[in-house]
Amino acid sequence: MKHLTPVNRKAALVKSVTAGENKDVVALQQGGPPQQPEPPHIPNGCSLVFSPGWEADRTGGTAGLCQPVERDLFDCHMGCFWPAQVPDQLNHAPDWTAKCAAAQKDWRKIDLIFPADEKKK
Amino acid sequence: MKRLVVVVLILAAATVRAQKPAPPLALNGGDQLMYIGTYAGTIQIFDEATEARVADIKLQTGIPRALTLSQSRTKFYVMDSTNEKMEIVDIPTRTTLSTFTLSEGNKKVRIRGFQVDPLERFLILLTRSATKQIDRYEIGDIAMQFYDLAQKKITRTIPWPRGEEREFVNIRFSPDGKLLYFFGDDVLILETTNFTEVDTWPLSRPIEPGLGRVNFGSVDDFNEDPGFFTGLFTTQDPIQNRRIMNIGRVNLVAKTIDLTPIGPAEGVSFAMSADRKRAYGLVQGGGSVQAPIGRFEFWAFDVAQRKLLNRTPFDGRPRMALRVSSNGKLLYVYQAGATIDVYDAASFKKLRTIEMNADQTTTLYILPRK
Repeated sequence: MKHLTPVNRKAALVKSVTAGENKDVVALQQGGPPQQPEPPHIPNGCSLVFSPGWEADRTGGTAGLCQPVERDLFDCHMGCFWPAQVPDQLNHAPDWTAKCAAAQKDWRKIDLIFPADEKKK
Repeated sequence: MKRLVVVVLILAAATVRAQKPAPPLALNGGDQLMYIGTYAGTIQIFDEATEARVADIKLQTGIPRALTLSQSRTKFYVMDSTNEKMEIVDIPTRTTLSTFTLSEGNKKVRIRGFQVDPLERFLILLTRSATKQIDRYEIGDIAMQFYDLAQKKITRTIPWPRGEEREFVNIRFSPDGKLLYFFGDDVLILETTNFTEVDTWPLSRPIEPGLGRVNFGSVDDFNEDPGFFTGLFTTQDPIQNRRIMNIGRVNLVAKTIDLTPIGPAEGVSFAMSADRKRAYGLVQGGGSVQAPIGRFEFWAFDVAQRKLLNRTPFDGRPRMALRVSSNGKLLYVYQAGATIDVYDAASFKKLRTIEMNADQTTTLYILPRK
């Protein structure tokens, strides 16, 4: 391309773009386009996550919420997605749901955890 | 007395009937077995032909968070929900071969990710530790650890390629296990003896002048040959300032990407059939103008001809993952909850729902019986 000189704006844009292309690919990333910047480091532990609550998903909308909400309870709980509303399973309440494997069906078996209980552990 | 005998006979007949395996469904997904981790601390196994649960593998490490299939497809490497424990499960015998954790005493070591050597000599673990002191937690450096599966211990820490420490890494192995591909700006290729850099794949540069960068979107390597990935890739058109969706296939060893553009880029998942002729994707509207809330679509791709066949709206569910049945006739929509919705891959009509007794926590795998 060195022997070619752009003579109009589009050609100049092509030249500037092709000259400026450099490292910014994130490969084998799941989740689809567009490319996302590397997420911030979040240490494991639910108290360190500040995601929204039951009423909103991580985008602040409602499309990502399951219906009924119990269907998504455990998946989000394990990922510390709803930290404020559920006990911290990593550090304080690992057996919170030991008697309930399907939240939508038998959520009544989920234990009640009070702050006093967490302090004892 | 006669009445009692009749009742006993009826009960006996009912018991025999109950013990007989359910007959195959008229339109079934094939003759393989479906494996999925659950909140009950098990891997549940379903028969594709009858969609009945046929067995559970009780895990010793509790609730699984991730199942990784070995290249030989005979073992699951399971990470538990606390990211502290690993368990190796033999699929044919449905037994646990071993478990391990790196935590001890007041030091918790969380495994943030892992990759299994194709020859199953070692694991690469991405770890970070938190040590509880009397007045604080001491957070350790993030590290890539080499776990020797024969010695059953960490034998060394792998230095970060080019000294660049990462919070998340994407690594893959060559099928023979001799090379490790470290995905970043470019792909750094390391040999797996001393983990020194031997080559680079400059993915950050466009594969054709003016094409723009390549982004790996949704890829499916479950039904691919080792070392290959087929999926949807996005290329950036810097002139028109638009993103183009491509169907492509990556050959990791040859360091090539074969791309065919099919239209404007959209967020769609990708799951390929076992014969690699068809693939399907799911679109879930997130509230944008292009994808409003409540918009759910099946996309069908002709992988051989490299084209989008059709887009079909359907009544989906928020949060969906997709797997194609072993015979390619059914689509399994799962994730979050205790149900797997079964769709006809030809008409995209919902046929039925597989009810589980525990919520799903992992990817769904479909494997041959033996």
